[in-house]
Amino acid sequence: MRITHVDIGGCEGCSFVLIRATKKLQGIEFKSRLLGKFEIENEEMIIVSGAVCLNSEKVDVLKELREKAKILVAFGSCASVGGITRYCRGGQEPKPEHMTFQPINAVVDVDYAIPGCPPSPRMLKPFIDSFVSGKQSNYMQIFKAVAKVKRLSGFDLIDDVVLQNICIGCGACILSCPNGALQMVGGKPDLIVEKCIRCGTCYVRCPRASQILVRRYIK
Amino acid sequence: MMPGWYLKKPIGEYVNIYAAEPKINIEGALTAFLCYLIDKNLIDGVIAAKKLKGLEGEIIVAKKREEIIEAAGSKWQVLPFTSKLKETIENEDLNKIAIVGLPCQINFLRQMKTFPLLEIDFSHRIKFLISLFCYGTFAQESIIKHIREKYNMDISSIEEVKITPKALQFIGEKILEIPFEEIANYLQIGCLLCPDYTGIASDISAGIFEDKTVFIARSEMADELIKKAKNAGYIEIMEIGSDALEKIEKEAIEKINRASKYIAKLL
Repeated sequence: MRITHVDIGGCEGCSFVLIRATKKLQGIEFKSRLLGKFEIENEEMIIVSGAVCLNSEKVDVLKELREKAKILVAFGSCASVGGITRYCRGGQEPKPEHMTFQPINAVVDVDYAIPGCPPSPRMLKPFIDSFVSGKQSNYMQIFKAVAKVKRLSGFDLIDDVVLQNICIGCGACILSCPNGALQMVGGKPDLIVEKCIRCGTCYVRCPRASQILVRRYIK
Repeated sequence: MMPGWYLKKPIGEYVNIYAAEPKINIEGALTAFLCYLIDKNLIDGVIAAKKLKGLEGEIIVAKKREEIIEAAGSKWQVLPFTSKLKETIENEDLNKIAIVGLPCQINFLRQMKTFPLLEIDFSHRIKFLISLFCYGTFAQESIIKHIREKYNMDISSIEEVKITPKALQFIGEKILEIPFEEIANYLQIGCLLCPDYTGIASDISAGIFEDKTVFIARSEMADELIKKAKNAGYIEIMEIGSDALEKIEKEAIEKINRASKYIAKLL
């Protein structure tokens, strides 16, 4: 299988994960724009990392990638749901010039979106395997559903699950937060807002939130 | 994930279903099975819920047979996984753990095991996922208040909760039976949305059904282990009759239908 990777703006954490992980994958032909320039042709799968700045040429880059990709995958929280770039408002130290970062599905249709800041290298193999073998785990539906939403975060988890009273208090979100932003208070999770990096992992890991996500977006 | 998808296989994919009973001097076939795993060094710890008093409990990491025995029995509530739990697993460097949990927790852990999204995930340390049958869990405060006000019973005296065909039995300072229709009001709303009765994402599902322990082995490996535990004299396994199987499926379908109804209201 041929996989092409393009980063369109981010901390490069996801890019390193991809480069690290794909080395160990057999039968995969992996090219990354980070490792050298090349023309993008019609590709089986294009993986995009990083959020897109709506006031930049990256918008056109992204549209071109969509045309050429059979499967377009948003990799990492920024590309999938905005992630920490959601907090960019321009003029902040160390001065990101842009203030209009959005997940890539704000510009193009995305087939699969994998949140995580960054997603671990270990998760790439089962993801790619499900295309190679043609056997898709039910959990792949979650990545399909995330591709349809424009934001997911601890804030949404609190709004959609805890405040709607459908939280069962299982603790899945607590174990899924890479930043320790969730804590159990009175048997239900509570968000330490300053710590949430809006990666969306807690949301996809919550048994109720993921169930509703799939019900709402996958027919 | 989706109730429609669940309906095709209400109790999920499986290799074999058994009725089981303990053969060593321990109450509960699942406890005996876990003792087998730990005695033979197939796992180095079990994460399970332990009852404190009444309906209260906590999650523990049991590394010895005695600790597993202490955690036996049904709980009727979700005990949350906490960051402390992960710390314990990592600090003590446990690499072959069995986790006994409710279907929701097993579903989350299976997702973590299938797609380890984060570097901090400890899925590689998990060897077995064992799910308990689950009808739903109580909204703690409401059920305590209800039992106290309507039946004048002190909830902290409750030693055991049993299921009879039509009601739940709370056994404590007295024996109290509350019919299912009445109890449904005091289940957590999140549990009413859940379509999973047996824990279809587990390696083994275990539950009490009509006074028998039922084991559902969902992989060849799990099936083999159950047979080995039998040969080692820890448990006895029997064929489960088609009647009982039908009834378990009926329970599962009821839970799926209940979930469809509630989720339709929510969307």
